[in-house]
Amino acid sequence: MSGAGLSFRIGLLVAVIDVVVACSPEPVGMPGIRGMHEEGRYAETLELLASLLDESPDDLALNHLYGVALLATGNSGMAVWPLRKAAEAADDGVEDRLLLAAALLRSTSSEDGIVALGQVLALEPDNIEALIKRAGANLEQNKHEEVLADAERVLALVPSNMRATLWRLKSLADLDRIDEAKIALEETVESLSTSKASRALEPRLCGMAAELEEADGDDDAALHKWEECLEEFPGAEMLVTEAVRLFDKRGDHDRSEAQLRKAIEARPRKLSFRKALAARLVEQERLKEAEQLLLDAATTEEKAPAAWMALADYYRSRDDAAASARATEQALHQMDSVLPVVLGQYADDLIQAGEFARANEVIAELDTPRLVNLLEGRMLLAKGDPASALEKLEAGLQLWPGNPTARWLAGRAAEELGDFDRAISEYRNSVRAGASQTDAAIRLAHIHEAEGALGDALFVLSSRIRANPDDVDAYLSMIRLGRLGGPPGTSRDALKALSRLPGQEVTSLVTAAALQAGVGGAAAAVKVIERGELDLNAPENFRALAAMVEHLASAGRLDEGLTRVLTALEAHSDSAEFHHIHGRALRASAKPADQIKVAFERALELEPEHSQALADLARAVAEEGRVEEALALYDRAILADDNDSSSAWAAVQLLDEKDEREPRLIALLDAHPLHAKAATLLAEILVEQNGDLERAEQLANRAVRFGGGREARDIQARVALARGE
Amino acid sequence: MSESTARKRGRFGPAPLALFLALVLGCTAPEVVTDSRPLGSLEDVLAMRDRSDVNVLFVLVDTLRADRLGAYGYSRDTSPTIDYLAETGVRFGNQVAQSSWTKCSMSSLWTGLYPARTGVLRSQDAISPDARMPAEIMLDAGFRTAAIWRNAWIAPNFGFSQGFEIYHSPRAISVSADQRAASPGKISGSDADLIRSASEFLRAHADDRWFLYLHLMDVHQYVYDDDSALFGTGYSDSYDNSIHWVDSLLGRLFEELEKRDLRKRTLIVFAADHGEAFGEHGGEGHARNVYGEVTTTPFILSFPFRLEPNIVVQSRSANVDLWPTVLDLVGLSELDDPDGQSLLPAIEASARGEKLAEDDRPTFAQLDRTWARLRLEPQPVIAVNSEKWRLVYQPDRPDHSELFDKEADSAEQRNISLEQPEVVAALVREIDAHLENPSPPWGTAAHIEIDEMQMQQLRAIGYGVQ
Repeated sequence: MSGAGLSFRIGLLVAVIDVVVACSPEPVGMPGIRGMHEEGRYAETLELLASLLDESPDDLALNHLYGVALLATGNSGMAVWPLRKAAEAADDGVEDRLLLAAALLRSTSSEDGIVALGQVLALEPDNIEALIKRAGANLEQNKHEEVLADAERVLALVPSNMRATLWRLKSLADLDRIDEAKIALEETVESLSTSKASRALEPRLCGMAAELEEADGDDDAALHKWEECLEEFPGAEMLVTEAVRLFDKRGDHDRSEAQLRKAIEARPRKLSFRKALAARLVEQERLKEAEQLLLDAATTEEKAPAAWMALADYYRSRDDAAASARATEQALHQMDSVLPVVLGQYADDLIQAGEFARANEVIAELDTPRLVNLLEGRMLLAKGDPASALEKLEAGLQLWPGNPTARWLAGRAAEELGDFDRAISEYRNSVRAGASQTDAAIRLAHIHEAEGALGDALFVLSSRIRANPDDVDAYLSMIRLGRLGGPPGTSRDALKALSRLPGQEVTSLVTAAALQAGVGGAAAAVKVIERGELDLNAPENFRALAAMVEHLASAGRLDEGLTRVLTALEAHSDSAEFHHIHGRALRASAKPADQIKVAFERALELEPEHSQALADLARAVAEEGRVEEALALYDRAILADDNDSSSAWAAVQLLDEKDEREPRLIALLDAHPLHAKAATLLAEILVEQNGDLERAEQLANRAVRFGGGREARDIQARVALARGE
Repeated sequence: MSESTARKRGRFGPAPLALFLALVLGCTAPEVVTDSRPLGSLEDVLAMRDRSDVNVLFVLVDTLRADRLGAYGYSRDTSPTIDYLAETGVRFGNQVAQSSWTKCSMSSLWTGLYPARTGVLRSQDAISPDARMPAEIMLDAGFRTAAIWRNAWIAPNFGFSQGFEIYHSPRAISVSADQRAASPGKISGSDADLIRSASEFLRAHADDRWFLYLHLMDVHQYVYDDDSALFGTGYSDSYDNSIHWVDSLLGRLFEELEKRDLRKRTLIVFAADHGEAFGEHGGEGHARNVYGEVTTTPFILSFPFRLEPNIVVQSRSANVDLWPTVLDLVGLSELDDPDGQSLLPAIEASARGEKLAEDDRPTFAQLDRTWARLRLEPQPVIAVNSEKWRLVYQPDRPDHSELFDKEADSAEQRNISLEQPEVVAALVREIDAHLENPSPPWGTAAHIEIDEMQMQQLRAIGYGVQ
C-alpha cells in the first residue's frame, strides 16, 4: 500500500473515531489530549489518560491514545497492553497493530513483534511499513530467508526502496548466494548512478563489493577492492574500519596504520580515526606520536571539547593525572553544559595529582552525594587519613556498590589500617564490579599469596585475565604462583598466553628461561635464551641479557657472562642497564669492589634514578662499612621504585639501634603492609621497649598471617606473655 | 568513575514523565498492607478448582535463596511483602530447585520433569516445541496469557514462550537512573520497568481471566535503589539490599492488584529458580554446583483469601511439583508424565498436622559443570536430598562425592562421605535409578544456535558463554 493510501486510511479511521465519539458522550479532555499529541506533548497527557482509562477501561480510543503516548515517551514496555487491547477490539486495527509491533520490537526479543506484523500483513499484504519492520526484525535474528522474502516483496511494490535493496543484498550474501548478490549489487550501482541520493550510499556499496569478494573466499580480490574503495573514499568510516580489520587479519599492521593516517588526512576532525591510530601507537610504545596525534585534534580547532577529553583519557591511561587535569580544563572551558561525570573525573584527576584545594572547589560544584562521598574518600586516602577515607567511601558505596574504583580505594584504606579481612572483601568486590578497571585483582592475589592461599590467588588472577587478557602482570604472577605450587600446567599455560601478546617477546623468553632453570638447571635456561635468537647487544633486550648473565653465573660460567656483557657494552656504552648488568656480573665473579662500584656508578651517571643500581651500589658501599652513605643510596632506591621493598628492608638491617630502625619499619609497613619480617621486627621492638602492646599484637598477628614463620609465632607468644595472656 | 545523571534535568525528558512513572509505580512502598481479601480456609483452597474467576500471577525472582527471606527465618528485614504472602498463605519450607542455572532449572520447573529428562543441560539446549507447557494449558482453558521477563536464558528461542500470547522483555525506561548494580554485567533498566509493564497489563485486562508470569532479575544483578540501601556495603549486604528493593516493587504491584479489586480473585505463585552462594563451599554466585545454598528456594502460594493461621508444608518439595500443584489448584489438566506431583495432599496434611507417606521421596538437583563450554565433555554433578542426607555426586569423579548430614550439620559444612559409605552407596543407587528415567513424551531436547545478539545479552548478565 502506498504511503498516501495509508495516510488516507488513517485519516478515515480518525474521522470514524471522531464520528463515533461525537455520537457518544465525549470523555472530558479528549480534544485537548489529541491537540497535545499533535504538538508532541505526549508526556503531559499520560496521567490524564491513565485516570480516564481507570474509569473507562474498554474505551478503544483511550487505549489507543494512551498506547501512543506511552510509546512516544519511550515506555514501550507499558504501551504493549493498551495498544493490544485497541488492536484486538478494532475491526481493522492495522494502525494499532503497527503501533503494537513497534512497542514489541523495542524489546530485547522481537518474536512477538514479528507476529504482530504478520497480523498486519494478513489484513494488508502490501503494507510497506509492516514489511520493512518485519524484515528489520528478522535481520536482527539472522533469519536471512525471511529478510530476503520481505525485501523482495517491498521491491516488487516500490522498486526504489533503498533499505529493501540493501537488505536484499545483505541477505543474499548471508545466504551464501554470492553470485546473485554480486549481480544485484551491480544492478543497484547502475540504477543509482544518476541519483543524487546515491552519493551517500556509494562508500557502503563499494564496501559491500569488497565484502562479497571476501565472502567468496577471494581475499586477494577483496583486498584489491578495498584498496579501490579506500582510494575513492578514504574518509568513509565504515570502509576504513572494515579495511583495517582485513589488513590486521592478514597481519599487515603497517598497512592498517597507513590507512588510518590517510583517513585522518581526509577527515582531520574525525576523532574516532585518531583514537584508533593512537591506540595502535600506544601498543607499540610510540607514545609521543600518539600524544601528538590527539593534541593536534584538540588544538587545530577553536572549539574541540571532545578532542580535549580524548587527550585527557589518553593521559589518564598513562597515569598522568596532572596532564589529564589540564586537558580536561581545556575541555571544560569549551563545553556549553557539563555532565557530573566529567566534573567527577576532573576532580579525580586533581586529587591524584595532589591538587587538593582545586579538587575541593570542583567537588563543591557537584550535587550528587554518592560521587561527592567517593571523591572525598579518595582525597582523604591521598592525604594519609585512611580511617576517615573509609568512612566516606562507605557512605558512597552504600549508594554505589558497583563502583570498582571505590571498592579498590576502600580496600587500600583497609589495608593501611591493617584490616586485611576488610581489604580482601573490598578487593573482591572491586574485582566483581569490574576486574579490568583497577589493580584490585593483582593486589588481592598478592595478599592471598602472602597468606599461602595459592588457590585463591590463582582464582583471582584468572578472573583478572578473563577481564583483561592483555595484563602482563597477571600472567607473570600466575607463572610465579604456578611454580610455587599451583595446579600442573598453570605456569606453562600462562606463559603460552603471555608469549602471544604483542611486545612481550623478551618477557616471555626471560620467563621461559626461569621456568626451565627450575626444571633443568641453569645450563638449560641458558639454552632457552640462546634459542630465542634475540640480539642481546640491543639495549631494548637488556632483560634477556641480564637473565643470560645470571644463568651463566649460576652455571659456573662466569667468564662467559662477563664476556657477553662487555660485548654489549662495546656496542652500547651509553646503556645504563648494560652497566648495571656489568656490575652484577663483576660481583658474581668476585671481582674487586672498586670495579663493581665503578660499574654501578656509571649506570647511575646515565640514569640517576635506576633503583636497582642504587640498591646494588648501596650494598657495595655498606660492605665497606660506610653505613650512612649506603642508607642514603637505599633511600634514593626506595623513592625510585616504591613497589620494591628490598631496599627498605636492607636499609633497616644496616641499623643496630632500635630508635633508628623503628621509623623505617613503620614506613616500610606503610608501603608494604604484607612484609612479615618487618612486622615481626617492629613487634619485637615494641615488646622490648614496653611500648604499644596492642599494636605489637596486631603486628605479630599480621606477621603470622603473612608467612612470618616461626619467628613470627615466637613474637606472637612473647606479646601474649607481655600482655599477661 | 562513571555517573550517568545529567546536571541539567532536561536530559531525562520533561518532569511530567517522571511524575507519571512515579505515580504508576507508587511513590513509596506501602507501610500498611492493604488487604481486602476475605478470610478463607483449607476448604476454600480445595474448592478453588471449581472457580472460574481466578487469575494466576506467577512471580519468579531469579537467584533468590529462601534463607534470605524473613518468612524463612532470616534475621534481616529484607522481605516484608513476601513475608506477608507467606503469613497469610501456604509456605513450603523445604523446597528444592532442580538446578543452580536458570535455563536448566526453569525447564524443569515449567515441564515438571527433572533435568535428566528434559535434557536441557547445556547452553544450546532448548525445550522441545512439542512440549506441552502450562501456559498452553491455560491458554486452551481461556486464560489470557502473558509473560514479562528479563533473563536471556528464558528467551523464546529456548522454548519458553510456548503458550504465551505475548512473551515480552521490556527495554529500560530512561528515567530510571536511580538504581545501582553491585554485581558485574549490566543489563539496562531494572525490575521497575517490568513492574510498570505488569501494572499496565493489569489495567488492560482487569476484566479478563489471565495468567501473568513475571521473571524478575534485580536480585540476580544485585540492583537496588537508595531506599533499599539498608544492610551495608558488602557483597552479601548488596544481595540483601536487592531483595528488599524487589520486595518493595512487589508490594507496589500487589497494591495495584488491590486497587483494581483483583487481589480477591488472583492466586499468587511465588518461587525462585535457584539460590546464590557466598563462599559456603568455597564458591560464589551460582551455576557452578548444586549445594544447598544454590538450590534451596522459596515457594509460596497466596490465595484470593487469607489463611490465618497460615499453612507451612515442611515435607520436601521440588520445583517440578510447582505446576502440577498450581494446575491442580485451578482445576486444569495435568502436565504430560511429570516427575513432579501436586502438593495439594501435602497442603491438606500439613493443615491437619499430619505427615504424608510420600514425604520420603528424594528430590534431585543437577548441573552440567561445562554447560557453557561446549568444546568440553559434559561433567554432571547431581545432588540427591532425602530427609536426613544430601549427597552431591559427580558420576565421572565418584571419589569427589560429598555427603552432608542435614540434621546434625545444618550448614552442610562437614563432608562425611568416607564415614558413611553405605549411605553414599544407597544414595548413588537412587541417583542411578533417577538417571535411567525415560525421555519425556516429546522426545529429546532441541538444540539451537545462540546468535551474537543473544550472546551479548547473556554476557551482560555475567555469563561467560563460549
